[in-house]
Amino acid sequence: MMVTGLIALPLLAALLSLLPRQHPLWAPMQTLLLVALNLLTLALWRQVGAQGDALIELPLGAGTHWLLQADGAAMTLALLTCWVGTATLVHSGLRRSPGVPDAFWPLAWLLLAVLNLVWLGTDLLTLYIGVEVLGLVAVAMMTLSGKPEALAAALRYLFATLLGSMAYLVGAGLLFAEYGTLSLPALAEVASANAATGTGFALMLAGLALKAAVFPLHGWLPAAHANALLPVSVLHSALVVKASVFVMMRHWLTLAPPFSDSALPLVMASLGTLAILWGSVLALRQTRLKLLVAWSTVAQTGYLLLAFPLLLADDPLLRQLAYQGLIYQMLAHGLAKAALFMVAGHLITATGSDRISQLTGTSRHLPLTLLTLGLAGISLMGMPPSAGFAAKWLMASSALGSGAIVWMVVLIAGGLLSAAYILKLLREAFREGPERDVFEHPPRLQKMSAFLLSLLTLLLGLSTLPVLSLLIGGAV
Amino acid sequence: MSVTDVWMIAGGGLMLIGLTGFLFARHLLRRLLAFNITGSGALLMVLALSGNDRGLAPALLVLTGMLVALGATALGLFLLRLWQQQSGHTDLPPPPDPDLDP
Repeated sequence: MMVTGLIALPLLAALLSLLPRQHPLWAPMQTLLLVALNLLTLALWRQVGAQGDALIELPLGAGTHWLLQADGAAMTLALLTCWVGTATLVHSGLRRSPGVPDAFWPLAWLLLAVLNLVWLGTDLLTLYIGVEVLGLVAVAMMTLSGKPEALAAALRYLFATLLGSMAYLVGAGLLFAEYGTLSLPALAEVASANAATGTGFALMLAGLALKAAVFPLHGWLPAAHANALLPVSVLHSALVVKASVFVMMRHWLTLAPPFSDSALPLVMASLGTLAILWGSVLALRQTRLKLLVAWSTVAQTGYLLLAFPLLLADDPLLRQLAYQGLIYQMLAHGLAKAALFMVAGHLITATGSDRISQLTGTSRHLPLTLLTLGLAGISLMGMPPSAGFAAKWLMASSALGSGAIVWMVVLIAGGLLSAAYILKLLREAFREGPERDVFEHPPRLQKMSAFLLSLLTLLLGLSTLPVLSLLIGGAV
Repeated sequence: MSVTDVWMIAGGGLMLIGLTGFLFARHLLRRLLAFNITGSGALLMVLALSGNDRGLAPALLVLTGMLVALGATALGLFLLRLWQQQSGHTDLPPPPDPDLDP
């Protein structure tokens, strides 16, 4: 029952955040809520680790139950949500926050609550409600920066997310008409490869792909991330985009096995490959910091997609490896991308410009920020020791086991390209220039929140077992 | 032709009309209305597909869809008014070129 607290606590926090910010108890209250969320998430994560997956039945009346599933994947993502959420809220300044409007706090807490609902959901209705509310909250948050470009990007994102949800709804309707149930575990038992299932499944995947900015449906993402308020870009790129891919994965594990001989796995692998190449090349070509980070998200989502066909391998062990790799990549990318976006914000504050060419000389003045950039960058490139490396290693092991050599080529090419765009930033930052010597310093608390996130990518690369042991048996 | 077929055709037709508007209209208000028509068509189709004696689930699905459409329309109207006040336009500019350096 404690699991429902993962949703209830952030909801309560969202309501409490509506209180006026000037109140002296506001900052202590936020601190208390964040500590409570961290303790609760960690306790539940350990409980699932010790006792295995938990199924929570909430009676709805009339003999029906609402099922939530706290499995290893859900708890790992809840942990990511908790860490990124905490870092972002602390980063936004609990006491003073110049430039962050009051409306950010209730919306951010609401976002965390809905994210946890998505991780725990086991039926199409809960997941539909989850991704819908997530989309609307995310659109509202994107307008907080008040820039006209942000408004245009938010409207474009609103249309994309609406179109996606419509496709999902019709797909869910088709599946219900065929099988008379909306529950994923029940569908897994009865689903077979017929036209109605195929159409419904394809519609749902396409709708979610649009929301997740999967190549070639990524058009809305770069402008939206580049023009939003910094903490909003952090939450969106680290968590909201993941939520749609996570729901895709839940559907894939349920509905894809009957279609493993069709072209579907190949389509997913191709889209993943194109996303990695296209996203990385465009990230490399950007001259503005936030746009580079945004295009990197398009590329990194490709890795997630690349793991989908591997989830259908014949050997249960290979399926297991792909599943662990996929979840670990979500965790690794979430932490690294959140840190990277925060660093981008700090560098923009420091230089007063969004231009990469203006970074000259920052390394001497902002060592901690550059260390954070380095640590997060190593994880994004997939170099050891980092969580990103562990994730890619797991996926590569699964791919090699199935004899998918092409996969390795894509992985190496993607790694080199990410190294190129990360090193481009570092090169500019370490270049010594005579032009300027004065930089604005971001608050220490902000630097520390970003640093701790990047430190986590390192620690989760050095010690993978605590998380991976929760993910055994998930895809079998 | 059964009653279900009639509903399916009606729902499908509405979706087609709405999607056409969604893809070709430039004015944001028209696009928002087109989305609403598409949504109504989608909900009709879901209702027709699920029949009327299959429990609570499809009703909840459709109810959620209606609430989402309502919320999205309200949010969309708010955003488009703000956009019109700030930029003076009622349509979106062409999406930014990824290679362009503004």
